[in-house]
Amino acid sequence: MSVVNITNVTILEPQGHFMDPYKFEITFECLSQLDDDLEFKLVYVGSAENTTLDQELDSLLVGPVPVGVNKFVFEADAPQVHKLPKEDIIGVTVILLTCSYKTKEFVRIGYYVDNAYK
Amino acid sequence: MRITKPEWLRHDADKKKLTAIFSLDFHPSGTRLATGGMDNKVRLWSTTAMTKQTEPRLLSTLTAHSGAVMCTRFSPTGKYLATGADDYGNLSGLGGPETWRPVRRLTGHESDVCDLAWSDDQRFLATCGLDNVVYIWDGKTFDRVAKLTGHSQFVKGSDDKTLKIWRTSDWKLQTTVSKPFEDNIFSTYFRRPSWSPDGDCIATANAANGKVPVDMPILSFVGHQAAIEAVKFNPRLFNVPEPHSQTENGTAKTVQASVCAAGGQDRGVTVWLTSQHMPIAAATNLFTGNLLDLAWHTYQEPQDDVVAILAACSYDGTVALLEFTKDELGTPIPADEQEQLLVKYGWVRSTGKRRRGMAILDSDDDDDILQLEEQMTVVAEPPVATQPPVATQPPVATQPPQQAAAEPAQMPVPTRTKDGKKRVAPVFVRALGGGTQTTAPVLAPTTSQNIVIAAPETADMEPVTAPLWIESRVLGTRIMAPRPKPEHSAAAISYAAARVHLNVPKVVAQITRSVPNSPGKLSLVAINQPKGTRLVCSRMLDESRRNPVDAVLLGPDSLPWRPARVLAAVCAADGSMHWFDTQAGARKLPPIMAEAHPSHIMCRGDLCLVLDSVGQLNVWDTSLPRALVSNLSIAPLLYSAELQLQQDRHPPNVAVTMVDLTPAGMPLVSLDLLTWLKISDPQAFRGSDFAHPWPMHRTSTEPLAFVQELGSYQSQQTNSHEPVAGRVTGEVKRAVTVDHVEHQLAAAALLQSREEVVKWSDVLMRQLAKSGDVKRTAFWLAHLLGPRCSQMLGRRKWPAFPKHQLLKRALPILAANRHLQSLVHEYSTALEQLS
Repeated sequence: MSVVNITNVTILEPQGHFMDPYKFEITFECLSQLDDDLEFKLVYVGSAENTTLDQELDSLLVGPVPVGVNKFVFEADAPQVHKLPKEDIIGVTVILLTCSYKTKEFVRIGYYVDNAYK
Repeated sequence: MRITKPEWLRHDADKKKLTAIFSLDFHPSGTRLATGGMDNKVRLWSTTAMTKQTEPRLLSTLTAHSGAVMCTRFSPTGKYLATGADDYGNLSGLGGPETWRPVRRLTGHESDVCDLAWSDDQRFLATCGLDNVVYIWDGKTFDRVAKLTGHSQFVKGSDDKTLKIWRTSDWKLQTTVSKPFEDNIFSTYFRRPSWSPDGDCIATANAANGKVPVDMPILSFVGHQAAIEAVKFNPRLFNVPEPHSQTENGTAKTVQASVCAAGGQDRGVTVWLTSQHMPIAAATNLFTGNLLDLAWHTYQEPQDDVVAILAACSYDGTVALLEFTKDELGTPIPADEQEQLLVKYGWVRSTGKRRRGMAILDSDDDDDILQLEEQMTVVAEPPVATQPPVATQPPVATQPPQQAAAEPAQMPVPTRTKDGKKRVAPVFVRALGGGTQTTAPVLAPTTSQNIVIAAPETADMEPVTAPLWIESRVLGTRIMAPRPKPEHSAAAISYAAARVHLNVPKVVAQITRSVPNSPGKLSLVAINQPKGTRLVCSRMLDESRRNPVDAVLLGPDSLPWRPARVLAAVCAADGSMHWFDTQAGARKLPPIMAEAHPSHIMCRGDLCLVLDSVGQLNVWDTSLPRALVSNLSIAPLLYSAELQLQQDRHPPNVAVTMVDLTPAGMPLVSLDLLTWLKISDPQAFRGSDFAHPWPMHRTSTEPLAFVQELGSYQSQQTNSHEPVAGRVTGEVKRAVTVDHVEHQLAAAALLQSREEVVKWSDVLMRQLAKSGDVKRTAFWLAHLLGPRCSQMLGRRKWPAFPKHQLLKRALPILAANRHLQSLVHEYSTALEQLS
């Protein structure tokens, strides 16, 4: 049973510019005392075929975590375009929000991102 | 009764074989039946399609689980459907007309979720899993409310087959029922208990076909040939026509009864009424696989005379529906009338006062939980829609809820740590729902509870030892109440050692005590009048024939006590005690002047035991007459019992044998010592191999084991954070083990428990053989042999059995060890010489 359960993730500004930072408001519950911080990371999948093209957009340490329901805002920068393969920029791709404790990942939430011209 | 087995109702994974259906439940409106199966899906079917062959049949399929769906339960309002599965999670689905959306995924179990149940008013949902833990979830917010881990460890091969009832108000353990399961030999996959609608009884499956009422003696439904897997009460009471009671105009007397269905490994279903002993219906060979779940639905308006419908699902993947008419079951009582009836019985709604706790069966396979709300909802799209978005999107946080996403920016700004990472402290929103944290609620060691549990157990012990053991517990509780609570523990200790104060019963106008175990039910009545007191012994059977056996005038204000068959002890307010023979009413001895007012008296045979208000214990044998125990202070016991209440670090739980009086009244060694012997102390020998009591057969032949088990049960109650005893290894462990075994042997000998002496003696010899300790072995062999010269024959016997027999048993065991063989040889020759 997991001590930390993410109960809600709200995406502030679900529609925005490609270069806008990603903002998540994450609510989670913590069932017992933790001695370390939680580490949240946001990863942008550059290409479906190649995992080396994944970009870690940002990471955030959350702590100290009180027992109970908590929330915070995770703001991460947009991906660096020059690292993305040209054919995969437009279209649907995936971003992954993961949380780890003591460098062990225990939860991963994925979202589809559709990049298109206005 | 009509049975339908729709062929099209199936969960098929590959269209050829039927996969097992583990659970099913009716929607409260009766229009839908949800089935959960091994193919990880939950399907909703139309019930009218089943009974009347209309279309459509399959209403929707819910595929959000990744493991076999073990349990599906609709909430009482029909709004939610909770499902529990092998993937350790539950989902609750919000129901639309046919669309079901997952509302929340409830994680927390470490193993398969076997069963779940809603509470009546949808306040709570309970889920239980193979990890022996019960979680309680709040119905509205779906937060975890409490976690109950009251069952013993799941160890393969040893079962703790008890039924535990928990109170909903504070999630504490209410009672434990274990008797019906003792002769259970079948093991089943599921055990689903079910409360009867009037809260009177719990029907439990697989209890050797028994039904366990909470307060009443056991009724059992005998008739199934194999183990019962599922039992389900129909939630409505019925007005059942009583057989053979027709009046002239044809209307029969009606009686309220509950309807219960049971089904099991014999693959059939039987239906019972609580008012009769025979089943009203039995359908055998309904399936080709084990029957796994049952669900009732009662129609508000009987349609075509059908009053209720029962659905059963089985391991072979089929579902059967049984429809019952009014003639078979009676007329169902409408819901509001039923509530009125229940209120009459003292049922209070939604405050948790009614003992509608969870009934949890502990078994070697799984636990069942009743009650609790649904939390999970399963998401599904109607089968008409083409895309299955569920499969691709993660189940959690798919749709942002309506709560305002744009909150004022109170979020703390992240800072930077030493290695350049961003760090932010989260904003605390609220505590976990329900208030109780995750640490399991510690069961308060109210000693009064101990009586409830202990008393029925000791009832079938040897009549001599039992009552006194009960006494020791009762006294323990009485003492605690009047004592003022000391502030500091140091003061408490000195207070306890200094003086003891006990309750003294009050003087009332008339006291009645009944004589146990007497033909004709004698009772002793003392009528206190201003002039004096009359003591009347009369028979309660026939009021008219009240023949006073004796009428005696005593000093004013006397308080009679429990009479035994032969002896009645009466103590008066001036501190004197009188003894009478209950048969003849004659006075046996002159009254004694006691030092202080008696607090508690117990008579057995010719012996009388008195505990007075300053904690002195006296035992008199009135036939001799002689004092067996005189003024023995119970202060040492109270000292340790007091610590228990104070929740000290290591409360020594002392289970006490006060006096062991055999039927012949022969005093035992403990009386010679005239002191208290600490026979059972669960903390003392924790490093030994035998620290945990052996699998319990609580029979009267093992009093030592019984006492120790009681002691360790108590310690479990108080000590939820017991320091781990597993660190003892090697030499130390062996030494502790041998020490422990010797202690057990001596204690068993003191208790005159023959079987246990033999048992522990064998164990000791095996330990000695393993260790090869020559000196110790020599000591024990010499002890068993006794004095070699035949003049001191008096010391040959250990109480109740000859030592030489033990010696004979011991020698072959010891011969296994090479170092001891010379000893063995020496003693065997000595033994031969003596016999």
